[in-house]
Amino acid sequence: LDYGLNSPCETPVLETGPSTTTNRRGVAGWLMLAATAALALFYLWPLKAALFPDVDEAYRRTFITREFNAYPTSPVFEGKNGLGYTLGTRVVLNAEKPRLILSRYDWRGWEDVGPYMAGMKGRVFLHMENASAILGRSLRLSLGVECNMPRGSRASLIVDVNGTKVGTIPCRRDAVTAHLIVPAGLMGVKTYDQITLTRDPAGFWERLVTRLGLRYDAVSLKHLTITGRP
Amino acid sequence: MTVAVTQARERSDIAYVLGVYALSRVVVFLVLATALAINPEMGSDGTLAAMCRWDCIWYVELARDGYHPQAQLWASGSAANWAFFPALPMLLNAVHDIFGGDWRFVSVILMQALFLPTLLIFHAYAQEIAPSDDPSFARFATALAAAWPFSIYFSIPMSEAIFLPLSLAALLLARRDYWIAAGLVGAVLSGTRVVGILIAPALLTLAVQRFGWRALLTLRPGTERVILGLAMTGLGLGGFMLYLSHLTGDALGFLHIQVAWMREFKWPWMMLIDDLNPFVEAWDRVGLNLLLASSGVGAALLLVPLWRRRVVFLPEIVLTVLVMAVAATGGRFMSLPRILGVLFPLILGLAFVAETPTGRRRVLIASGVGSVLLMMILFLERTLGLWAELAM
Repeated sequence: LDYGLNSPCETPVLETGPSTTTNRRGVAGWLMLAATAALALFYLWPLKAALFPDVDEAYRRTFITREFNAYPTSPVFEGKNGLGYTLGTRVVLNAEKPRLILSRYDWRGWEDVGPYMAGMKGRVFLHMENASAILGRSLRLSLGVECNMPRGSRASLIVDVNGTKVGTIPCRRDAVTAHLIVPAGLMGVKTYDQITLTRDPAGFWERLVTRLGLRYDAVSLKHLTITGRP
Repeated sequence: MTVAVTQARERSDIAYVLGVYALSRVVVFLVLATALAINPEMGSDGTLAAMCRWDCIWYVELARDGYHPQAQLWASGSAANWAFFPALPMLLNAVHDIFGGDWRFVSVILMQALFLPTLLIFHAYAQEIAPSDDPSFARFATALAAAWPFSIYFSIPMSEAIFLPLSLAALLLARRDYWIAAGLVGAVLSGTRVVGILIAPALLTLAVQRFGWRALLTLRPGTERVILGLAMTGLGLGGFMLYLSHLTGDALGFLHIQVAWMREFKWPWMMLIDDLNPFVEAWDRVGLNLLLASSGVGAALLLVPLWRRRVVFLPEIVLTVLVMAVAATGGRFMSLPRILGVLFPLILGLAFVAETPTGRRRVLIASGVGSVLLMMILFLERTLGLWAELAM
């Protein structure tokens, strides 16, 4: 083969086989095109399975990849694959054991310390039992968080439910319980509801210094309760 | 050249490859014997089984017991064997059905046997792309493949050992215009490991070079076999996805279960910040990660000779760059040498570095020394502790 290394002006020679086209398609050609079309149809099947899995993210992360492991002794979160939640129950997320037992709280960074946000975002999945009873009601979401921010700085935790912001929780170096109103129709519609806490400010600088391990601030979710709004 | 001369040349080439193969096996087992002499403990469960470590155990158990119905392994309960693709376990299972015996023994012997056709295909490939004024290139490249620093991965029963011959065969067949056969091999390849499907863009690149976009997009007569071959490459992956969907409800279970190995998508710069950061990692871990990351730099450097010849090697470059992109976003540096070290274009890249007989001898010796060192690290895993991750 001539790679054209020493003669850049020459047309490179590529042909090592009979790579030619013709003007007329034979029977074999049509059969091959039909086979290609059949394959394309076949690929829609795994594609559909990937885009619309039988198990959703909450189930997968709880029972398939075990990122949120079942809390075996927890009196709450029973039923509905271990994520069932009955209105009015106070769920304590205990940070005294490694992540396995801490259950259902997605904290980033792989630290085995507790359900705190070494990263910038954390989530809780739960399934509302008797969802039909709460659909028309607004709810009160009580979140207990504990912050350990650097002196002089403050974290604002943006809380959203199923992607809709319901409020923020400011904290510095203390434990705070915030009561937020969840509008009617936001929870209990999906099989699993997702409550997300995002740290703000979460700009480039904050992310960088946290990621680099230059500061050891932490935000922990300690407990949560959802009640009907009085 | 007469037929007789051609046949004599072919016989001589086969004898050469056989010699290289035999010598490489002698070296592997000599290094193994040396490692056993240094650390007899590692051979307590059988000398040959010492070669079946790390992912090999997963593949052997997968061949024997099939896929787990649910994640259950490790203290976290988060691991399942869905991360491992089915091509190698199916092959192991078939061979074990025929010969029986200890699973690990069968798997190790199978890999040693497979290395001979691997070298033969490599030689054929090197001949196919060798510069016309360099008759000794193919032999040098083949010897280099056997003495490649990461050649130990071709002997251990892990998917890397079949990724190499299958990726070579798929591109070789396509280069010789056997597109449907290339597609069939590509289908098996995509059922071998996550990056197996990346043979599809490499084949597509070759097809575009040969036929042009317009002919392929307009389905011009004569391109049907090419298009069918390309379409077939996804069969292995598609089948595995359907199986996982049926078993677990998650067609992408092979990706999602990677969290058990602490692998999640991460941008390369975040990997650098996380894994090379002395504020959060111990110094020896940072050093190890630096060494692991350097294999990526080495791979990029070996692409340079191929890039200079990109008119011919664009498909190989596409395959390598895409695999590197997957490795660079996998969340961890661990396994980087293993992922990159089985890419045959990098061996070809190294083969192009030296052009004189003396230079080639030097490259071969340096590569062989590197190969022996890495083998020793692999075999002395338990003695070396953390640093054994270099070979993992």
